[in-house]
Amino acid sequence: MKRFILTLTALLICGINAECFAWGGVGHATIAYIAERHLTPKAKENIEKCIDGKSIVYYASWLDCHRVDNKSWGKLSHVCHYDINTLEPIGKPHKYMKSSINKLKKYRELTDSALKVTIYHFVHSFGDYHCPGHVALYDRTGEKPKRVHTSSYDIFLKTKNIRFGYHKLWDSGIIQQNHPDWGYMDWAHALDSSISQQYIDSVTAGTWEEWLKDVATRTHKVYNIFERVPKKGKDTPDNELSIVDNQTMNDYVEYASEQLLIAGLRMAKIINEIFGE
Amino acid sequence: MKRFIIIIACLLFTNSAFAWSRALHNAIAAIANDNLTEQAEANINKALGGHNIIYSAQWMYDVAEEKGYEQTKNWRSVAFNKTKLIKGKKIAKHPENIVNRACGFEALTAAISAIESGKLSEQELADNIRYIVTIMGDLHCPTHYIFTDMLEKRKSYYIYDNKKRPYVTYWESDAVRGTFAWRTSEFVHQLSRLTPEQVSQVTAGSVTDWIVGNVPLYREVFGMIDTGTRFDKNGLRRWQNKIYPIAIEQITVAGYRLATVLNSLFDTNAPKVTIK
Repeated sequence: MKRFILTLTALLICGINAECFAWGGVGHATIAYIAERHLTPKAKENIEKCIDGKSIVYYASWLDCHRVDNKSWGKLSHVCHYDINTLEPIGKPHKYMKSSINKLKKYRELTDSALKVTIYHFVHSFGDYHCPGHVALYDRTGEKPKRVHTSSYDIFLKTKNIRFGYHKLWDSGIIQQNHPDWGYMDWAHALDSSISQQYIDSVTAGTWEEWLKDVATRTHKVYNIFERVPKKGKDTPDNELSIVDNQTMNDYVEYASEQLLIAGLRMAKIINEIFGE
Repeated sequence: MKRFIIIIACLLFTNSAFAWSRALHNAIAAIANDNLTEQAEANINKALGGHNIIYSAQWMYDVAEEKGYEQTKNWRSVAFNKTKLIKGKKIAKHPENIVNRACGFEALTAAISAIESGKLSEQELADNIRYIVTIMGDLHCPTHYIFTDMLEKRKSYYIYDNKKRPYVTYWESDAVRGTFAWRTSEFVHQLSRLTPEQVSQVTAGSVTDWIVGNVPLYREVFGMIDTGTRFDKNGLRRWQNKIYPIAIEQITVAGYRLATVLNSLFDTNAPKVTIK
């Protein structure tokens, strides 16, 4: 009986198709919407022409939804890899992003369909690469690169009395837990309404590769602020997991919010440079 | 305990009484509101006591249990003999079957004609605006089209996570919200952006043309599920990827058509919409 009630309640609260996208659908849409708010009229007009007049926000999670339709889209990695010693972006994800940005720079030469998929990839993965759960550090000093920290921790959020995988916590957990009733416009309004030009200039200074290095550096610090307990079985009691207390959770929320904002501002800078001519 | 279960179950399944969910009815009304002329918006908001049409997006459902409004339960769908619109039904209070209950077309056109007549009391005018707002939304939800030769299809279901899920219910909300968890103003941002040419295209013709014009696509929609199909996570996603663009388009088209009808009724300078 209890189980029946819990099932009904869970269905009621979550709906049957709860989203499981990186950053969550709302997080990705927030990044794209913040970017959109900072596009020049010319850049906005040009990029929307390439995607049938739709907003870039519409396609913010397209890659997540459609990777089941085409294996090659799934290969466009959603997790960015870094060298733990230099914190430089490395490997295929970096290569794919570089390739997408280079293709976009010559967007007039692409076919309509190639251009669309490239925009979808850029708009989505650029957001992904600012998600702490999508930062993977590799030690390349040995014979084979070794993934140093992964998402292999189950976290118990003490204040919310709920368990998450480290990856999923960042993907959608933090956003959903803290403002379950906010849509992307609410997030953008909250984060982006009173920032200064000085702030925008500071977070968008440098190249996109330097931005990713900045993400890795800061994420590494954030990652280190909780006590990590290697992943255990599903039946492990909550108190044996990596426990995130209220203070840490607040720091996480702060960090996630800032990542959403700076990802949006940086995305706008790239789109303006390419499509604003 | 029993009472608790009943309450939870009711909350869970109340949606199945709606065409689109409340969120999607709101979305349609908001897109329409965004496309009203200044004159139409002012006149409508005055008639609605200062509220806009989004406020009334699902009013017809909210009052369905109230005395005097019981018949509105029959105004949520339209019936077709295969592809031919079954018209002229009496807006019956206690209809005997699903086809006779489908009085959406009659109710919509009666509301439009009543407002055109200019002979309504303040209350009647407000009610008829609200009827139009809700019914126009309903009549762009594929599963609110009753095809006499496809009645069995209405019982279709799919299985996900070992649970049977009715296809008709899926269309009410998850057809869109399984992909986009937008709020009302976000629907406007995303979908209220048709070019003038696109608007002309989707609003061309009469109200009857719109309803009948939906038929080929909506019949296809009923063919998009083989009853009993069991989906895994990827299979469900793949299937939803075919459905959500159709659902999004219907929400958009409904919003623009609703605006066209209301502009026609409340803006003396707007093009007139005909019923036939």
